[in-house]
Amino acid sequence: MSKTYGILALFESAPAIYQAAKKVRSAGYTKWDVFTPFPVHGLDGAMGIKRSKVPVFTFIGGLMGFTLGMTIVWYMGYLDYPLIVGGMPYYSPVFPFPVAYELTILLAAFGTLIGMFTLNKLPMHYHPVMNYEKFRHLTDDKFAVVIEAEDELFNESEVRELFAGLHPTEITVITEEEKA
Amino acid sequence: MTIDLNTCTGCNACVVACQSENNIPIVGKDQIMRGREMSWIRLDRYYSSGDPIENRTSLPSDPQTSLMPVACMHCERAPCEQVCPVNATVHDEQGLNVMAYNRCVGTRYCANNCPYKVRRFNFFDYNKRARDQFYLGPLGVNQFKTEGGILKSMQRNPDVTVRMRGVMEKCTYCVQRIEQAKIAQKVKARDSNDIHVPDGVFKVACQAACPSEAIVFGDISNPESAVSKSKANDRDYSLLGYLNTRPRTTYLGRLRNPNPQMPDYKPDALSRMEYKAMQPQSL
Repeated sequence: MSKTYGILALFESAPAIYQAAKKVRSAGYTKWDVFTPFPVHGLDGAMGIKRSKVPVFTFIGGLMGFTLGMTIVWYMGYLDYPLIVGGMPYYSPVFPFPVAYELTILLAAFGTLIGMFTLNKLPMHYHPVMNYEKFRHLTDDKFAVVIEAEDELFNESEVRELFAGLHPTEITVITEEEKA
Repeated sequence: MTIDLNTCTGCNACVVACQSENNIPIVGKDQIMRGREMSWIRLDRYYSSGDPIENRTSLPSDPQTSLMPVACMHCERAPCEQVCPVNATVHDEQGLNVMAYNRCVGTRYCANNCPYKVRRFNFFDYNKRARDQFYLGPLGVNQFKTEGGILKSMQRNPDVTVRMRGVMEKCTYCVQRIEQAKIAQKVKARDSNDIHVPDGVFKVACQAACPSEAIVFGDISNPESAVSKSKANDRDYSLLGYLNTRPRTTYLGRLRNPNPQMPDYKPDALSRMEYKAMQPQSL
């Protein structure tokens, strides 16, 4: 059994999709997305997408790396196997700094990668818009706006009316197979 | 440890005593000429004549000799320990600078960084190979398997490790004697828990051999010990102390009588300042 995933409006040009995104946003919809074959400058602003949360993952990764580096040196030098070397203290934050610094960079990079994959829900092998027969045009020369049926304001006739005001090439209902 | 340079006569007894106590190999003239002598304590000699100008132009005809036995100083801030990549030389909790022969990989960084140049490296298997077969390596005869070699190995002090090729070694402050004294004290103490080794119950090898008792060794944490009293002397100084290595071995400076009325008086330079003042101004 199939159910409605959302309503798609197809556009021919980047300025048209930009204007459409602005209109959809001002109409108050929250669960909707834009499909373009290439990054359109300013489209994220027009869609009202907030700053990415990936830096949070980066920061947490970096912090974990720094703490890990310092902890390794502290554990080995102070707790596990203390040695008196040249009258130095068993642990000081100064000399293990290169270790902590390198681990900061390494885990920050891992954090960035993991954060990017997590926030983008990657890897994504299926998306309902793939059911659209002109989907391959969306990676080539066409632009589309989809308002999802899960949106609180979703009403098929209202969405069709809104899209009609934007003069798209076509308006289609996207369906998806319901999970068993 | 303190070494009194006033009473030291330069007899070399400490050098020989250390050699026999600590299984120090005899390496031969050829290796000595390459600077690979193995003696843990050496006797430095400094020559000076009464005439600093004559010193510059010719060998002094009647030099005065200053002697200084130099062994590992067991520095508190040891430069050798800081450069060891494998922590093979570290301090133990009683303040000795100890070598872990098994951990040593033979980088010789420590010997390069030692300001006193008292670390000795085993360039060859000095005990395993005959003196004329050092360069043959494994192709040479294994002395531990020959009859004469077995007899020779019986000369060794069983309390001290016989070192192999590729490890660094140096004065241990006769750690075997210290440990024996500690064990004996623990046996004696039994349940009384009085395990503090009394001052003077043992002597290190060089100290025991010194005929003029110039070398004093003991526990510097005990203010009543002979070595603490010796260190309290006004003449006490650290060799290369300005490097802030905080050596455990200190020296009691040599005194001379600068009275010109004395029959053996010579206008010696007694300090660096006096020596500089004696130099010709044109230089």
